[in-house]
Amino acid sequence: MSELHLVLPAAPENVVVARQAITGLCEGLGFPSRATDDVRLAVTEACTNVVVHAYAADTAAAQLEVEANAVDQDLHITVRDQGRGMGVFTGAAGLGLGLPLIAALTRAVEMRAGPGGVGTEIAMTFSKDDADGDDADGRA
Amino acid sequence: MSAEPIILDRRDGVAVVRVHGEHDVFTAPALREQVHAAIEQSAPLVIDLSGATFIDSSVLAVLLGGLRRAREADLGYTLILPGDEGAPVRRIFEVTGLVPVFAIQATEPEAVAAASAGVNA
Amino acid sequence: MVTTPMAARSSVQTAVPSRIEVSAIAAGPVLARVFGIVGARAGLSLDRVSDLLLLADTIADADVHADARVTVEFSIADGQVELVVGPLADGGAEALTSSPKIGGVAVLPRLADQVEVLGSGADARRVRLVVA
Repeated sequence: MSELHLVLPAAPENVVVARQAITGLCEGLGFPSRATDDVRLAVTEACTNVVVHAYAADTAAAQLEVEANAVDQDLHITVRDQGRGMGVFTGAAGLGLGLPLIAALTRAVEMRAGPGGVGTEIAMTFSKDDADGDDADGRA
Repeated sequence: MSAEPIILDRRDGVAVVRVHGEHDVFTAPALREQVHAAIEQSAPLVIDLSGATFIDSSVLAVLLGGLRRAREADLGYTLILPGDEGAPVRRIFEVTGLVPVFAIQATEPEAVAAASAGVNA
Repeated sequence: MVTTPMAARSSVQTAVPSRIEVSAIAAGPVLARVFGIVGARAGLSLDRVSDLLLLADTIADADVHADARVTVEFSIADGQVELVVGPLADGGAEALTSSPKIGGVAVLPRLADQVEVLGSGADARRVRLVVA
């Protein structure tokens, strides 16, 4: 069973709600503050991708879903939408920062089709003791 | 209060946009409006991030867009960022490699003086 | 005035709920932060936001939740925050509405403007709270 499962309308004002929930989870799990900072930023970027790209503007049921599982010293967070499917994750204003930025903040990240091939999910892994999201050999 | 404030201030003819609290895709448009308004009024601009507790790539995009406009208009454009490494707001600049792109100062007097002198790089 | 990006939509559309499920262990800090931001967004006074935070603690700490998972659906309408807590364990609705007490006085009715058990008898699995 997951530690946290959040469902919200995919609207810009709800990105901060997801961020606050994840921050509370990191507090509850005793994550150090620098590791928490990286989680907050990565989750924000993934949720923003859903809000901005996943759904056409007139979609009636545009949903943002965040699920978190804690396994040993790792936190696995998946941000999921049920929208257009594997789109181009370019991050804000086409800067190309989105997915590479998340990759720099996480131990591992995978972008894949959602359950049943519907929508997209971004699956991120964070380590409690690895504030820089470095590879095992210490390089970022 | 439903959104963290963005406050426009003036110091010695320089527009200072103060960003307090957490900012993301929801508040980035309001920040963009403030930044563009100052540049359109030909004011050198300081963006004060010292009171910000969170920014993301949406906000970075606004800061970069403002920088481009400021350079086109030959206006000073500086950021105030906390100097300590690892401070959450500084982190996104470091991770994205954008620290060298902006003119960043640690204190307001330095940032105002630099903007006033036309520094934007 | 805040303008929203072109591709986004307002959360006025109600087809998607706002729902949080959190393990009992992490529920305290998670609910406190979420209730805090929801209360601020609804425009509640600082006192009422404080009451919401107390509600978060009360709900998180109460041993009333089915499967040790705290589930809350939340929405904002007309400056009010509506919370629906549940599914709750057997007897959980009664316990949540009457037994967390401070100084011998039940906490929930002190903090919320409306407290309502949804369903009856064995089907009383959820509690609705309104904070204005």
